[in-house]
Amino acid sequence: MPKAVEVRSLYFKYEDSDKYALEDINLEIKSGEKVAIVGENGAGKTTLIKHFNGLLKPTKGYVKIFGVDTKQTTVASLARKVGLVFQNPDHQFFAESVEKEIEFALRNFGFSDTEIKDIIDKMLKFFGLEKYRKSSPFTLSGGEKKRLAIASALCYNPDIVVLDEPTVGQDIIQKRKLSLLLEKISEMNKTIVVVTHDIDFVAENFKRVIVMAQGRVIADGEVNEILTNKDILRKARLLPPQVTLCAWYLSDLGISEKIIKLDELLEEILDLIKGARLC
Amino acid sequence: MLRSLQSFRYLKKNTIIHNLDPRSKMLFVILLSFLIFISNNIITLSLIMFLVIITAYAAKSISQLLKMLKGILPWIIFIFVVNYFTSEKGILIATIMSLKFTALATVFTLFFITTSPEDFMLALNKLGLPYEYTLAFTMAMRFVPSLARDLQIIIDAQKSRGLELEKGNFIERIRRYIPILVPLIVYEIRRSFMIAEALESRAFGSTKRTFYYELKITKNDILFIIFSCIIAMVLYLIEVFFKLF
Repeated sequence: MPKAVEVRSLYFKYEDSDKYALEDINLEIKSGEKVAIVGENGAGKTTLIKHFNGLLKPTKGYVKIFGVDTKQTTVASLARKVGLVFQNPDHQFFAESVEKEIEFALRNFGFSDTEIKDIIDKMLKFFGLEKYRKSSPFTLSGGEKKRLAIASALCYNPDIVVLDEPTVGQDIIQKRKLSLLLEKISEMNKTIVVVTHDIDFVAENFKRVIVMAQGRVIADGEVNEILTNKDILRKARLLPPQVTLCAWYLSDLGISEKIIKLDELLEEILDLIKGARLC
Repeated sequence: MLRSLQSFRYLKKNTIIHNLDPRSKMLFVILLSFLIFISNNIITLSLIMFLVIITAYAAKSISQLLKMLKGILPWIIFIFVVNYFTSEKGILIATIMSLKFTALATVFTLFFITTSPEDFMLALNKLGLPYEYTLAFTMAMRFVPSLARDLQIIIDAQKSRGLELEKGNFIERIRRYIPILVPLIVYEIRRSFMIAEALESRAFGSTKRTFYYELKITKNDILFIIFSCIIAMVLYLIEVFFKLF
């Protein structure tokens, strides 16, 4: 599979600072992969994903998107391939209606009028925003705003979708919808990168996780391995998923310590109970 | 644009000038600005400039002042050119006018880079301005950096949606700033409401306020005030003396 994102010995320093915000980052994300990036506040997660569409350029090292070095091209041409959704939707809404908000990116990328109409219809339906078509984006609720922000990046069909903290301020139902949405996007064979604090969300929805701390990648691999590794979690100052915590408490009873999903835990507990009954 | 604002920002330093009471510095600024306004000859204005430079040197702020001057250089040149072509005495008036402008800008900048906004607010308070007004002023100063940060995030967000600020002719470029200005204004207005609510929930304006820090006039302040008055008097005499001829 081709590499969607390739980062090699990336160092990055903000202009007004003398400390590196990112140090020696190396990673590869394959096309069609679904990856979560976790880490505490100030670990450099957002700084890293801003390199994916060229908003920030490496101080040292390089970032390649489908083989193209981000230093050799413009943000606009990278944005066509990488849809980046920022944390706070209020930082991007400006149009008088929801449909115009979606139209904005499509116009920027030169879609034709008929295509635009088509895409807007599809997006509004997909995100359940049809009844707000003509309303102002500022009147939407928090969850709706978030969905509109994601829609306004997905509409032009980028190959890589990068979401910054999509679960913040979302209730449990919205979070479930978001999981389904990510699955749907993934089925379209798109590459997904999600930056988040929400370990439980990662445990339930991702196979691969990258852990960052103090501007470095300290772990990269299978969720089952990483989110149950006490060393890594301590270094990154993260708590394990609730399910894992529960499994750890029950480990004396013979339950595996590498469990991160609710179904897995339930299965083990049920097996245990069945075993006990048989005796 | 944001970088030129940096040169007006208060930087904490431990110098005689920084440690003076804001009220004595205000007196200094008022006296000098008065002199700058009435003065009409190059010698007094040069002396004032010299005095300000010495004060800036004592405040270890020369480099910051130079940065500010670099920022207003286009205005100085503009004033010079306009006066040169519109007044009778041409070059003399042009020099005096641009010197006046430079001197005024330097005096005020020096005050703001050596006085913390909190101290300035306290001083205004002591001089009888209601706390609500002084608070509004300090908050405005305090929000410049966060405004800059919001602006950067918004620019990044819109660039990620394919907005190209550099493309097109002049009119088109201005139009391209709409997607940046609208979210910024809406966001800041919303935030101002949030701040108002936060202030009220902490009992803002409920009773008469007391202050944790109190301003004190020290020996240095008295010396500085006497010094400022004497210098102002001397400069005034020089000015009058030159007017006679």
